Amino acid sequence: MVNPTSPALRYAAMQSGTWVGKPVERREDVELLTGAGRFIADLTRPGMLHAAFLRSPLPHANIRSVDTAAAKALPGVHAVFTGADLAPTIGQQPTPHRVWGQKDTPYYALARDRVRYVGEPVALVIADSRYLAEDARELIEVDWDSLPAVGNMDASLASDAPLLYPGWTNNVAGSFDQEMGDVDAAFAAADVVVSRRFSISRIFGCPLEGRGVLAEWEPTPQELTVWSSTQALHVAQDCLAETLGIPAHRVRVLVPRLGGGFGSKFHFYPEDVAVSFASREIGRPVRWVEDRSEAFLSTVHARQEVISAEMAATADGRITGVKANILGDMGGALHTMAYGPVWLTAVMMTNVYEIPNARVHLDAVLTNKTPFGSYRGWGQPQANFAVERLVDGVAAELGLDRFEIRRRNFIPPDRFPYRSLHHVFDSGDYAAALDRALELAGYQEWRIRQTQMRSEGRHVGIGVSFYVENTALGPSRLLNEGGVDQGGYDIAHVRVEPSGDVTIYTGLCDMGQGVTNALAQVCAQELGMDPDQITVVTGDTQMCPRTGYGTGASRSAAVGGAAVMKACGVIRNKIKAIAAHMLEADVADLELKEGAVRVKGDPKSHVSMADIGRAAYLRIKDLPEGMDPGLQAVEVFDPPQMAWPYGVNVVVVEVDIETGVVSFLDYAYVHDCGTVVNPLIVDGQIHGAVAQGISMALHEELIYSDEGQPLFSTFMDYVLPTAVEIPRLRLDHLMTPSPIIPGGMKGVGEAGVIGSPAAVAGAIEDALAPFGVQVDELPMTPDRIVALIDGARSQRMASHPA
Amino acid sequence: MKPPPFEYHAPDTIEEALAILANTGEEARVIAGGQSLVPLLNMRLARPELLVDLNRIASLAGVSQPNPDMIRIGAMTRQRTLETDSLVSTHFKVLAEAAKFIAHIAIRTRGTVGGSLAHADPAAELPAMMLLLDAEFITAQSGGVSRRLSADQFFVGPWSTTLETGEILEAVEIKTATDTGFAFSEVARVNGAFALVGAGAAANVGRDHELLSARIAFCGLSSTPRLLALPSEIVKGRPFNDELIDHVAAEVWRWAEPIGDIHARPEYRRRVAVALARRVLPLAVQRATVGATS
Repeated sequence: MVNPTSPALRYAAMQSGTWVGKPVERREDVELLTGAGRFIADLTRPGMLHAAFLRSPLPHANIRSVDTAAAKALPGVHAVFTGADLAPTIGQQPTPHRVWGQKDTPYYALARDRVRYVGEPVALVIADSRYLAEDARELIEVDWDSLPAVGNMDASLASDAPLLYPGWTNNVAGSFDQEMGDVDAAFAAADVVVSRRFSISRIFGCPLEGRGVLAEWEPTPQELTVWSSTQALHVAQDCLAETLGIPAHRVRVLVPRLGGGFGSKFHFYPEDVAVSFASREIGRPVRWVEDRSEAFLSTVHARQEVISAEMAATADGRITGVKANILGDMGGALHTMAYGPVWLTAVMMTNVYEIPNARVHLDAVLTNKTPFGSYRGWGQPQANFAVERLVDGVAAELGLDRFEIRRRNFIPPDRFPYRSLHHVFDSGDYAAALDRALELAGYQEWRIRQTQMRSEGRHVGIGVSFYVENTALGPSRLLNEGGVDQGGYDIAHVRVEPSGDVTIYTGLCDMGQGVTNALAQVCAQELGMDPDQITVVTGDTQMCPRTGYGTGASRSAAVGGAAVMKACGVIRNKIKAIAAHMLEADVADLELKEGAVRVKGDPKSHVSMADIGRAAYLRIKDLPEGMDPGLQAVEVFDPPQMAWPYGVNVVVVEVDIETGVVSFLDYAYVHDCGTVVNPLIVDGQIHGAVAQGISMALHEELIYSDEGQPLFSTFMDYVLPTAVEIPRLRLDHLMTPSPIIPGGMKGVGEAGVIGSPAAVAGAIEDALAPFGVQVDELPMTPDRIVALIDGARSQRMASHPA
Repeated sequence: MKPPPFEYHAPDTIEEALAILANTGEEARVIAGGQSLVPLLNMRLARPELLVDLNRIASLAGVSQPNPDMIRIGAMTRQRTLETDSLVSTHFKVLAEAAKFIAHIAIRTRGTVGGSLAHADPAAELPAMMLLLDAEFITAQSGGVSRRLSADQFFVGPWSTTLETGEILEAVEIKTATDTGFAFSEVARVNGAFALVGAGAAANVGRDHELLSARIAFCGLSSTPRLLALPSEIVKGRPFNDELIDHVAAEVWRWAEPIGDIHARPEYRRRVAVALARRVLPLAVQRATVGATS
């Protein structure tokens, strides 16, 4: 067993090849840590102008007219555009994620006649500086016809609710149902049924770097170049082409350094279109950089769902059925990914358990709020929160231990591939992970200490959650059958240069997660080279091959890595053929090792990669007769199904019942993401995602008034944790290679965020067990914790009057 | 997030600064550390036509001891200095304790004592601490006019003081009190966030460890920083025990005028004010006892 207290030993156990599994320090870190990284806000172009958006101050209103005359007259202002200016040539914002029954919710780069949320772009000012653009913005006069607004789903679903889209009969933009087994029979026969209503608040990805776009139109030939803070290079390219009416191959999208994305930068935004339009109209480069207050209103929000769910079980703790009714709060329009995350919540409602009977229903509800979209984990943290809290509820009803109830219901290892509500799970040994977590956490010891601490008046609780993460999104055909016009494949272009060094071109984006390191390590492993000899080029549609999807869904290391492996396989064969010719050796006797092709067992007989490169491009006569010059491969990998990593969070918290403040006493985390390519990066992904999960559980909330007015505009209102609030994680890894991904990698990018909210909530509920409260709402702010305790106390007084 | 145009002056002397202010009137604002004003400018919530920057006026910065019984803190003294200055740590360690709760080190390194006091955010620590320490506020106006105000006179409402147009806060002076014990604590959503409630306590004890007087100042609790001088019938001459603490808690509960916002309801703030009172007062008493016997 790996010693979790020593990273060095832990990392040694994770190394499965020369380079795969090696804790190589990230190639970009010196640049980033010394402030040398260049982000959108660092880029300038000759003659570049600056943009500022006028945004709607009203949650719901018709626009009678917009008067831009005074703004246009301000010296230094080059243009002011409104929805009316864009209408003749610019299409509605695309929604590439389209599924059956999804309604069309048209919205535009600049609102035409109606706004549906505070922050919706209404006009665009282009000026010599951002200062002047903001001065001019104040001079724009909008004649508003304010409409009644809905600030929450209850109000939106009321029979007399104002309708966001005229002609609709209600505010539901789409619904979905899925069922398996005989749910009614399971519930009728159950010994115990637990019913809970879970409320997950509105939060968002909130990357350190906001969004930005720099657009430059070249009239001859008619080409658009856009530097964009996107995670999805080709989604941006396709959507720009579609909205602006330009052939996609004439749109070049470039991605500089990204300061995080967390899914919010997967989306395609109105600003991308409006700024590109402005550049085309004016004939000069235009840049817009999102400021922090804008980010809260204009970058997609996420997570907000209400889940009414029930779980049925037998007296011996076998879970026999799940029912869930899910409401997703979509905001004012369906954004790039529509209600995809809510759908994922619905189909993940059986989690890792062998539950034969399940029925889920979802409604995607429009409200007068910022549109809903992607954030690390998509709909999985919500589903995990609901299922894991229900499992805790069943355990409490039956007097079973929280670990034991889980162990009794896992999908057993011999049932894989396992067909869940929608997905097929590839592999897993869940009980092994649970056992390891029990040991790592010192669970039994904590239970003893908990009893002791309770007797001292301290409120200590232990929470556990088990998660599974859907990664390596695919296969492409299945996505299409689900109605989504996107692929799950990735293409890698690997080229050996004349120097013998290697360049990899990929459509994946480096958003700070370190994907270029992972691809270089995979390539280094396959070609027997040092990763320092391998350059990875990302973020340029003109150079990089197309990705079916983009960087999201924890797919880069698994799908992108497998594509690189495949391309390296082709190249390796050609390298060996060349070397065999040069060394007069048999191909079967050759191996690629330490930057050279070597004859096994004969250390003197070798040819360097530099010699191979020279032969391939410059000294063609060294190649075997009839062989074409050049040494490169372009290969596609389309995953046959998804890969499913999994893991366990064990959390120990103490609650100060007077102030409601939660502090962490311990946090143990065990996971299995298949083959680990770089353990430093994997650890970092877990740390960051767990921090975001803890933050979702305790801190973050985008609060709106009932009328749809946002009550947030700065970090004074929207609480993010600092390093102080995040406990030291004790990590351990199991490694069960995925049987369906060459190399055995599974994704890991979202893992930490999925199970942590449920575990933290479970720990708080356990700490407050003396009060008998249920923790079904997030975030558990100090105020809400105190209110829960007060509620329980007054209920107790009411039922047992002194 | 860019400010509208404004004129900017950075004078070297306080006389110069006062003269500029006298000539411009209400359209001018003084800028100190800028940790509150600059965001307000960028969000265009404050729109002064002219800024007078005090950062070059050396005489406004620093902690000094004008006489053995007094500590003077210049208005342009950085909040971070409260944590590192030896005079402060000798005489008012509690100021260092409270300063740690002001935002983060980077902000405290720029933010000033005077800036925080003149901004008078009800959730800010320093205004409440000045009430607790019974500080005197020394101001300057053009023409050599200077006023001395008690903390109570200085703070009149949320973000509102009795500083007049053209008047600059020059310093605060605090009488040293070796026989008094102090303590401060705070509950915030996260490290560095504004206080949900912060509480500072001061206590004097007699030779037999009986309580002579006690007071508790709160930030974040109400729409202004507030000081509760505990009624002498509760504290004077009483032994410090659980019964007394219960009386104090009841008094805080009754006295509090809690506010609500998106972070916490008034009921919560009242509850936390009581909880903090129960924590800081015993510590202040303990420190007073140590002081009295040493």
